[in-house]
Amino acid sequence: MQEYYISKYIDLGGLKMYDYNPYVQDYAFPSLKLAQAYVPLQKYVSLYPPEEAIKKGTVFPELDMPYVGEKMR
Amino acid sequence: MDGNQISMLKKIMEIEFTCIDLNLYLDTHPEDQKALQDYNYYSNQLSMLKQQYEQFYGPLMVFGHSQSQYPWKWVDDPWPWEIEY
Amino acid sequence: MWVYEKKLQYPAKVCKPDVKMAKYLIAQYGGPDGELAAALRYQTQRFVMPTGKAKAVLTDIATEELAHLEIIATLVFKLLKGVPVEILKREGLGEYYTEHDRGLFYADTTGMLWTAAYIQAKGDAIADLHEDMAAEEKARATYEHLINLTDDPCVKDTLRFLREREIVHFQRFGETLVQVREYMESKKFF
Repeated sequence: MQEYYISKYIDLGGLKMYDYNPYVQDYAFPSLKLAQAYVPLQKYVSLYPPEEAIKKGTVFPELDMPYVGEKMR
Repeated sequence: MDGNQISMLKKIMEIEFTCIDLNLYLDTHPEDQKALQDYNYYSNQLSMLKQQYEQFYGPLMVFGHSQSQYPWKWVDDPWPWEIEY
Repeated sequence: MWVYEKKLQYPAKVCKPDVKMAKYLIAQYGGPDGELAAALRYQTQRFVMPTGKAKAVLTDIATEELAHLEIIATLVFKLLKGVPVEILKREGLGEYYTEHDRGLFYADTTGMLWTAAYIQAKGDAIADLHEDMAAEEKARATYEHLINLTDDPCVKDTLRFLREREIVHFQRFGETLVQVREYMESKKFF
């Protein structure tokens, strides 16, 4: 199923998002369908060490998405 | 609660957290050998740490998951929400 | 069955008592997008999941949410510890004190009691997984609001941990949605 890289098929309004994303696993989809939501399958890359992981709230660096919009009080 | 108990508990939390996150990953990727290998590694480390902790400070789990010294140490304070980390 | 572990998932602490923050945090205990709702939602939805993987995801995330419920309870408990009644009254917890003293109860920040109407279980795996993804996003948003509402670095620290968990759960539910749909489509052809 090598030819079915999800990246080949994501085309949002003509905007090709396609740079290779090392954190996303290939999906065996022939194509994305309309009226369906998709979340790409995560690929196993690397882990934070345990003492860092608990501080971040995840062991996966690629899922570590800290809150940046914090309002100034 | 002495400093050693708190630091052992925090170490357990760290390793267990890594196990939890790998567990959820494996639920959607059961055939990922590398992830499984890492899970088994940390899971083994976690059971050793828990065993050590329980020898000193009493059971982390009951219902037969671990033994207790006399008297039954499960009832000992502090409970998790009372601990000052 | 479930087995209790005598420890928190995360070493939740507060730097100082803060009645107002306790009142706001109750939202994540007994509010519509709180941890009780999350745990019970996933726990009851898992019975109609069609694959072993999906049953595992729902079971394990439901279980983790119970650990988060305990973390929120710990924060509220510590924020109210030793606060005199006068201050509880002044800071808007007079009504809460009347019914519950400084104990924990399943209500939201306005005192509205938790209700099963906060959750859904459609008996349809695809519909339920969409609900779960939305629930994780709503909880993430609530955690961001709560982070904005406090200047206590200890409370913020725990809230950041909980917020990040919502993101990880969203990813797992999303993967599950795609896998369940694939499974159901493969069934159609045989």
